[in-house]
Amino acid sequence: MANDLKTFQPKEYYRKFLEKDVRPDGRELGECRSTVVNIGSITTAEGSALVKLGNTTVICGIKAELANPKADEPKNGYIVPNVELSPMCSAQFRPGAPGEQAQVLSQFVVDVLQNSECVNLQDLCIVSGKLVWMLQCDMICLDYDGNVADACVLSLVSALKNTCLPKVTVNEETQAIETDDKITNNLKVQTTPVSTTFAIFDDHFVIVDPTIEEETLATGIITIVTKEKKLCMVHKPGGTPLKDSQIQLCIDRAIERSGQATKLIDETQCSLDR
Amino acid sequence: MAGLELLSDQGFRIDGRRSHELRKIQCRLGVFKQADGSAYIEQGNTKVLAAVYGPHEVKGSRAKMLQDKVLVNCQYSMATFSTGERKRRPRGDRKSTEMTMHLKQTFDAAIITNLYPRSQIDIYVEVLQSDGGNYCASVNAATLALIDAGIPLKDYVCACSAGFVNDTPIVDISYLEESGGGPELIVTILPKSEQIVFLEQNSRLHEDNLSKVLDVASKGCKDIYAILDRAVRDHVSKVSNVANTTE
Amino acid sequence: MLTSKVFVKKTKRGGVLKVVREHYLRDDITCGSQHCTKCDHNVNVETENSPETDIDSYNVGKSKTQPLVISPPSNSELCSSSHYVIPDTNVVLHQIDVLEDESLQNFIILQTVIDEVKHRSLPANKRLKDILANSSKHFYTFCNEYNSETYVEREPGESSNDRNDRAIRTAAKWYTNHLQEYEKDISIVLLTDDNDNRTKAKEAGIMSFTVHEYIKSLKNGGNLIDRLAWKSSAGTQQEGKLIYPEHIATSDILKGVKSGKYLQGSFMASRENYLEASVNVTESEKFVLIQGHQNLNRAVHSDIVAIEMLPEAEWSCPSSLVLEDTAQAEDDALEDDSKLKNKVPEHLRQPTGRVVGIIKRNWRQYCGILKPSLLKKGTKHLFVPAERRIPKIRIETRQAEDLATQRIIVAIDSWPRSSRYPQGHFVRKLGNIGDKGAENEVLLLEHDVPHQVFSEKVLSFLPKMPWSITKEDMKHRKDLRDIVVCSVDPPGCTDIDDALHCRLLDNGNYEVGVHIADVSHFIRPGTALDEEAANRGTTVYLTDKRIDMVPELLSSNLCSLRCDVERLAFTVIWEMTEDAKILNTSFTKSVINSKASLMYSEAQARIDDKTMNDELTLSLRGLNKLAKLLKQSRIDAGALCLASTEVRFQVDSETADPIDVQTKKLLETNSMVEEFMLLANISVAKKILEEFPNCALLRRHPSPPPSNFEPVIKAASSKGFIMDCSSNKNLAESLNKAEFDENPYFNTMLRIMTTRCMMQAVYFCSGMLPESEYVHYGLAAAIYTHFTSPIRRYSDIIVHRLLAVCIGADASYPDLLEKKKTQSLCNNLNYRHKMAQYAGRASVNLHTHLFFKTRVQDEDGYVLFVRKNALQVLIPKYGLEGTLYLNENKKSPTQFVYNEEQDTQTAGDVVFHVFDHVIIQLSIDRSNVQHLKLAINLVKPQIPGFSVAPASQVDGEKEKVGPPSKKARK
Repeated sequence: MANDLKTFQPKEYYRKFLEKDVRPDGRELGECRSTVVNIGSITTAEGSALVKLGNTTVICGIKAELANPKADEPKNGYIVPNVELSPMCSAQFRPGAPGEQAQVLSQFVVDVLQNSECVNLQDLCIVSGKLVWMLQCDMICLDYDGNVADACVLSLVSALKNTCLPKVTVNEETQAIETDDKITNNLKVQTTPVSTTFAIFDDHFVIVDPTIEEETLATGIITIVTKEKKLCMVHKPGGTPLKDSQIQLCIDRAIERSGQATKLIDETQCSLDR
Repeated sequence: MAGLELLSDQGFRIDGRRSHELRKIQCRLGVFKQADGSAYIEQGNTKVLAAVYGPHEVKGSRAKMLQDKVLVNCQYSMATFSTGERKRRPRGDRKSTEMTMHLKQTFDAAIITNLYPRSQIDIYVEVLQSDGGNYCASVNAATLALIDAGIPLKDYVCACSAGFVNDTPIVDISYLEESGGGPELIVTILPKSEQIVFLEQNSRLHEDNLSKVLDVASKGCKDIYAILDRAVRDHVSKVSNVANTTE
Repeated sequence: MLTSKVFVKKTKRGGVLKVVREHYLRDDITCGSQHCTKCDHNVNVETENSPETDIDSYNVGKSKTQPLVISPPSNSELCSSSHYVIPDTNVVLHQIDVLEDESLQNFIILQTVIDEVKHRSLPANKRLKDILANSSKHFYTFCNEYNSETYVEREPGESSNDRNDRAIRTAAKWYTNHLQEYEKDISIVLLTDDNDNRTKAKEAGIMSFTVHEYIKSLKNGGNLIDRLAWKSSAGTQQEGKLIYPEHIATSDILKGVKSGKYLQGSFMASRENYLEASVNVTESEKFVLIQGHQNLNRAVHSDIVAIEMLPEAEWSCPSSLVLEDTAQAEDDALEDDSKLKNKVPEHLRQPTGRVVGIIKRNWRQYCGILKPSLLKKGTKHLFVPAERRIPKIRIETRQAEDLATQRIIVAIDSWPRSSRYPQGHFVRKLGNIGDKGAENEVLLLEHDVPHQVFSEKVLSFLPKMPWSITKEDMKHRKDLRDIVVCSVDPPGCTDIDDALHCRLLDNGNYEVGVHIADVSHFIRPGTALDEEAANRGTTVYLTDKRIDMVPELLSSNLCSLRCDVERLAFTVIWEMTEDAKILNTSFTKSVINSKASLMYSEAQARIDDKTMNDELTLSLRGLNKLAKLLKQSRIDAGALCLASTEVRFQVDSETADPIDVQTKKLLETNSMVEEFMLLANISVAKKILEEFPNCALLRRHPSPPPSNFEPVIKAASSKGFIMDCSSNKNLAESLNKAEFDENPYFNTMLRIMTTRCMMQAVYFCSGMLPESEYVHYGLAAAIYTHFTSPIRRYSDIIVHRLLAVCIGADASYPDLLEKKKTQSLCNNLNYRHKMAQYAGRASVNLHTHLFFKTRVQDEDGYVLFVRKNALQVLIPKYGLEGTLYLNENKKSPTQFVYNEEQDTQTAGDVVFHVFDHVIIQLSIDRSNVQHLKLAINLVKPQIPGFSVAPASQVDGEKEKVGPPSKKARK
């Protein structure tokens, strides 16, 4: 009978749970799904990370290339993120050019990077005005079960922390690029931005880390990006209006979540270095 | 690197394998929840994911619908970070389209298509890391994913590649051995009936050597079949245990 | 177990590429010792032999996988127990000569060492491979990189050299532990010259010594000590003052070459002047002159060097002096370079440079003799190589007295800055100097001619005797046994590869057939016989010996088209009109029965004899007639007829000493055979190109660049003739017109000079060049190949195989159709061909000298070239060229004045020009035992204080002026 209700009147079905302060999958309203982070699995990439937020799986690979810097910013390298939502991850996506959602997500990630300044672009400079690193970050969603934005940001940050760039120098005389045999230098990641997404339901229920069903039923979404107890970015694309107090609750929850996520990443990093 | 010996005098290849040895294979079924069937396979350094959706109603153009058979739709794409140099076009370039076509043809022959007329089965393959033998790993992963999805197949579909160096056939060639320029043979077999579904050969190979290389590749396929079969049985027993305990 | 190797490479576009490779570690790598029962040695045995049922194959399999014997007797005083030896990389690279010695056995060569050797020196790698393949030496290759227990990973901050040393020590330690548990203790000895490595090894408990210590401690090591290379000078102090400038570091050289500061090229020392050399710059085909010790800077002939151009003001021109090195062994000072620095007129200046560094050394082993040092107890002696372009080498040996009379082989180790000469070590001796066997051996070695006896393996592929043609063979062949076929060859020829016939057809046309021995039927591809023939490339003809390409059973018997026996042949048949126009061509495999093996003179006699009219003679006449017509059409097309200085020695049958010398006379029949051979070659070339446009083996002769002809044009113009060298036809016509009544030999000399301007004809693979490059300049043919002498040329065997596939008479095989393999085969054949020619000429030279050992004779001569301090004179009777040195005796009243512009030498009122006729006296100058030179002295025109008395004249004749002065020769 529960299934029938779920199919025909999904909102009713959900409301029944939410009134009891619990969700169909057993979580509380403020509880995130179990997070798993795996670093360095793709050896051909300079840095890689696989993040599973419950069932949502995103893998991020970072490839480094050499490029000329922009004329007006001779000391800055580039970080170029790109999110791919392929039909593999869910039946709702069509093959072909990146759809609207993928593009919005990519832009979101770009904003997160810029606002948080987690990597100083000048660290990517090799020879000012001539040669800089360009980091292409590709995030591929493998399993779409809601809250892809958080998973993307988390995987990107873990992959950046895992990136190792070879030492490159330019020989003055011959203008030839010389690389050092052994890869050195981990990329310096100054801060760890973590994003937390909340779904707004029926004007007063705010649930953290929505699954795909919850996302489709939600009436609004708000994403908060924090770094180390400081607020970095708030993204609320329309949807049900929220009161101040609700937003404050979200921020507190987000800070707590960011602490957990940072700890998780560091632990994984340590276990890798051994 | 010029002068790199693909097969040393003592019978070892560059990575330390002998000519008849396969790379290390690890595979898992049921890695995604969204897809109806999914699998992950690692053959040496080549890592491939496959996801299967279906059978479901024909999406996209109704015109493609077949009245008596199921429509098999494949997509092969390589992650941009999968190769040494960043790959600019993950899908849509000629090589990927060719691979897609080959996969579709292979599975058209292996799936019992007349069970689902007017429906569509989607097979998506994503290569996460590429080190030679992409097609073979894709086929093997897709087979596992189809089994995980419960779609009826005539038999397992196993693929293996082989090369020919210094008058010796070598099995399961890596990217370095592929780029060495020697002949390359890829063969896909239905192991129990020993029928060849797909065969492709590149570069020049004298006809006297063909049978030798084909034999070696077929043996490789059979070895892979044994590994895949074991993985499937393990997965099924695990799932059935879980199912038993929850009841 | 799987690890991975990760490293970073640079891409061509300047990007950075991360490369990841798997590396599997195994535990089934055996230690290779017969002693050991732990390792499963049967794992690696190939399953080609039947399962070990019989003891023989078991033992063979055993020796392949377990070469190290159980208890090798220890010959060394340093280590009294049985032991196996592990050498490190530098030991293998530098002391490869010592390792090849039979007394050193039971060595373990690690995979790390082999990889490094391959990386650093390909010739050493090849020799190492040969040693490893030799089962009697009991050397074992241990794959320590793949063994899970001995694999080491590079630690951060460790250089790759250190890592390799550590890998070697780990492997040695593993071996020590592995073999320790047996009753008879087998220890491991590590050989390394690196002090650091030895100390670390001792700490780890491994016995280790330097190479010198070990070899000296061997009981029978006496002569091995001599063969040890000098210790590498890295780290050892330079004794004495530094004479030569430093060589620039390799990385700087490469940067310099890339930026254009330095040029790279191959170093070619001059044969006449030891202080001069030229460098052939790669990619630009320029030649840069290098003069003087400092500028030569220790480069040895055929090295690849980096040079820096000198400023134009210092440019010089090749010295017209002929100079040789006369210093002593202990002498380390260099001569004053100012000897060469004469004021050079500006228009004669050539680009000049100096050597700044060596990119690649191409040292090999050199034959020659020892020049003992003047000190009685000295151990350092100078070795004088037979090849004049190689400098003298200083070696250390105690056997100087024995070796002084021997021809020996020496290898160069290094050339430190403080030493005037390179340092080397003795390898082995060949035989007494002057002994014909030893001299022939030197000749063959210096020209890299493989001349060993055919091995058992090779001979096993020969057909069993008695051999006859089977029905199987007959099935696919045309039966031509009743055609009147005959062969025409030089006297004493046993390897007859061609036979001809000609008959008149009913329709008035002629049927002409050329039958070539079917060698490819006997030599099947891929066999040891085939590989040996491919390596030899050609039969080498020395004056008294013939080094066969294929074993005698084939060359003189089964393949040779002797008369009155049935033989297998490959036949080309043309139908031609009376005017020698070809109507059609067909190719077929056949069986023939030659009716007569004639000599050129016999065939000529038959043709001329009007009374003989049998079928054979008519056939010969027909051939002759058609041949003349074919020749005329070739000449009309521009073919060249050049003269050569070939002579034939008549050899005394008992002593094998030359009795007399004759220049080769050409009869009509020589030309007849030649014409049809050419026609056959051209027809076959067309056919195989048609069928295999990509991989046909053809022969081309590029037209010489106009600059090559300058000496001929200059010489001809001095006598008032203008030579038109724009095309082969014009050249031929100019040569025909250049006749000089007063000097009938003039035309021949002009032709001889023209021969020297020609380029070398080479084999090539059709897929590698555009069709316009296929021409053969000398024969005026658009396409050419070699088909008619498969017994003595390997290229013909390949062409036979290609043609057989064309007509469906034989199956192809993979290598035949591979463009690249065919081209590399052509490169080898071109090399062998060239070396065979040089060897042949050197052999003729050798015999000429032997001929003159007991004679002094006066002969006619003509001046070929005028040089600053000498005249080069051609003696047509012997086909020799000699140098008549002028101005050597400074005290003599007669001095020659050299006029460079007019190219003359003047003394008093006698002037020498090119082409002048002189009479000279030939004798042997014995002062230099190695280069027995022909001493040439002028008899006529008489010049006081210079010319000598005619040989036949008794002393006291009035014509002579002054006592005959004997010139001291260098």
